[in-house]
Order: sequence, then structure tokens, then C-alpha cells
Amino acid sequence: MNILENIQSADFQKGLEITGLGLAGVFIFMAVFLAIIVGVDKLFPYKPEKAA
Amino acid sequence: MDFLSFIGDNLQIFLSYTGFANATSGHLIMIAVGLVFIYLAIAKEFEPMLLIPIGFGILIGNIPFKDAGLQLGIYEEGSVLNILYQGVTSGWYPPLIFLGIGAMTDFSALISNPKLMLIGAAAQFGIFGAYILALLWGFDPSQAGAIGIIGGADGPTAIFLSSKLAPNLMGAIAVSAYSYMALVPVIQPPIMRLLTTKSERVIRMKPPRVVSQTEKIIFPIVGLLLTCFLVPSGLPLLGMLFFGNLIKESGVTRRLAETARGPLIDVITILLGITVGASTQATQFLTLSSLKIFGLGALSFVIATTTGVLFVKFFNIFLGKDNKINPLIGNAGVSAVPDSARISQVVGLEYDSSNYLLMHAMGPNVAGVIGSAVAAGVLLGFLG
Repeated sequence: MNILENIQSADFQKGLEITGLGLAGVFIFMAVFLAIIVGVDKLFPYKPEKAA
Repeated sequence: MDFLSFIGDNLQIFLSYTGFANATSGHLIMIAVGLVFIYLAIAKEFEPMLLIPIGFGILIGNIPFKDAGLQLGIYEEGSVLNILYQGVTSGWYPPLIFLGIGAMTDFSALISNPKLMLIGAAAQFGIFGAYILALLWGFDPSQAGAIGIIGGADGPTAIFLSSKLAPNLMGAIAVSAYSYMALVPVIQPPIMRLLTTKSERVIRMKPPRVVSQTEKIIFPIVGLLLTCFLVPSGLPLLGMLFFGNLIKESGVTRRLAETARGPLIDVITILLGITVGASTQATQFLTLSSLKIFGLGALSFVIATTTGVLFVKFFNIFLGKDNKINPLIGNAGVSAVPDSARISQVVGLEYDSSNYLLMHAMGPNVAGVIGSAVAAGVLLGFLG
């Protein structure tokens, strides 16, 4: 009964909104980070040191 | 006769100050909990660096003494424990721990295969899932956010966020987070086996490419800038993590890096562990809320592990045959560094004794540290 009441509460609705935005935020952060790492790899590829 | 009554009276006063006269069942239960922590740390080697200070702190916090202005308790203003506890309540121990973690973490596995970052994001469903469940269970939004962070499997992050959002629940949240981190080897393998097929468990991943020093140096700087622009509320933790990593990778501040990953993190771990343990006084800790927090904590670990593994399976649909990811590393998206990565390795070796997944699992593992700190920043931004 309490759970049903809580589902209808404004806090829960706001919670769903925060969850959606939060997960989107985490994925966007990681995706941008991923894209930058790929870009950095293209700009500064690994070059093995030449033996003397 | 007078002398005997003098002795008797004083003995009675003395006894009234001892633990025998002041112990309650709550004290005894908490002392037993502290002893179990110490036993698990020593006999089973479950997170000993954390469980011994926390377990000992629980013993200190639950010494049954008479309140006579002795300034012994952690909640008595001006006591030694109270002063040390300010690092927890003000939230400056966790960022210092993150500094040390940054100085000891090698992000090469992640930089060499950056798509693994997304696994670290997927596992954060555990945080938000537990947050929603806590709301359903009647916790207020701030408390629910603090409870949800248990799913990040990152003790310092859990302490940081709960000290900001729900200080009264911090003891239970911290103990729950560290307990389940120690239980990762028990919680995760059955879920990993349940959600994967035998052919998926033996997928071999390409060996990681070599990462240049330039990339390693750019990584923490980019990470810091990204945090500043996208999740500024995550700066206390992520800023210190990336700073620690920069002093490690720059190659010119070796002494600073050694201090951050050695003496500094050790000192803070001791202070953090003992004060968090001591904060779990029976009157504050033995409540129905604590039981609910432990239940939600377990669920959050299950959700995080499940979503991490399922996300890899989903991701594999879009990857070429040679680039498939072994879903057994999906569990490592929860932080718990490096235990959850080790679990990937152990379970993987059960099905193919020459398929070493540890280096691959370290990618999502360190991404999980970043992901949980980002999630904490998001929750702090909305609920703080």
C-alpha cells in the first residue's frame, strides 16, 4: 500500500526524472571521454623507440 | 565500619563507570559486528585494509561508558575522535583517498580500448536503481540518493555523498558499501554465470595496444576539463583523481606521486576507517533504516552487475566478430577496484584456462570509478 502511494508521490516522479537525466549524464560524459581518447590516439599515435 | 562503607561506596561509584554497569544489548550486538569485521579481515582476507580499521572503530564507538564529560565519544564535541571525524563530516577524507587512487591507477587498459568506458557507465544503473527502490521504500529524496550510491561499490564516494546528503545514515551506508565490496567474490559470479552462455564466456579479446606516454598525460587533463564542464559537482572526487593520475604520469613529480599513493592514502584510510566505524554507535546504527539500507545495498550490487553484463551482450550486437567483448568483464563496471576485475579473470579461467581477462577487465573497472563519481556528482547536483 505504501509502495503504491510512494509511486504516485511527487518525490518518486522527480526521482524518475533524476534517474533518466543522471544515467544520460553518465553516458554522455563517458561517450565524450571516449571520443576524445580516440581523437588523442589519432593525434598522438604510439611510436616505438628506435633501438640505438 | 566507616572505612568499609567508604570502600563500598567508592567501589559502587567505580563500578557505575565501567562497561559492566553501562552495557546494553545494543552495545553487545555492535561489538559482535566489529569482531566479525575483524575476523573477516584477518581470517578470510576480505578487504583487510578497510575492515580492520572499521571493525576496530566499531569496537571503540560502542564502548559502554557513562557520559561524564570524559570526551571519549565521537559525537562529543572536542573529543579526539570528534576532531578526526570532521574529515568525514566535512567530506575531505574521500577526495584525499581519490588523490591516492589516481596516483596508483594505470588507465592504459581503458585508453587502449576506450569503448570499455561505456561498461563503466552501464554499471551505474545499480546506483540509480537503488535510488528508485529507496524512494519506493519511503526514504526521502536526499536519503535515497545517498543510499543509491552504495551501488557504485566505491567506499570513499559513498562516504562523500552520504556526508553531504544524509549524514545521519552515513555509518550504515559506509558499512553496507564496504561490506558488499568485500562480498563481491560471493555476489557477482552466480549472476555472471546466469546471464552468459558458455560460448560467450570463452570469447577472446584482442590484446590491448601500447599506449603512448603523451596519451597517458593528456588523459587526466582531459578528464579534469570534462568534469569541470559537464559535472562540476563531481570535481571534489574526480578533480583529485585526475590530479593524482597526472602527478603519476607526468614522470617529473615522482615524490609527490609516491607520497599520494603511499603514506597519504594509508593515513587517510586509517582515519577514515576508524572514524566511520566509531560513528556506528548502537543507538544510531541499530535501526530499521539500517536494515533497509543493507537490503537496498545488496540489490544495488545485483543490479549493477546485471546491467554491466547485459550491456556488454547488447554492445556485442554492434561489434565486428574480431572486436567482441567477453561479457564476463561486464561485472567489472562496478568500481570495487581491483576485486571485480579479478572476478572476471577467475570466472573466465574456469571456462578457458588460457583466456586471461584481467587486463581487459581493468578497463571497465577504472571506468567504473569515474562513472560512480560522475553519478555521485549528478546526485549531489540535483539533491544537494
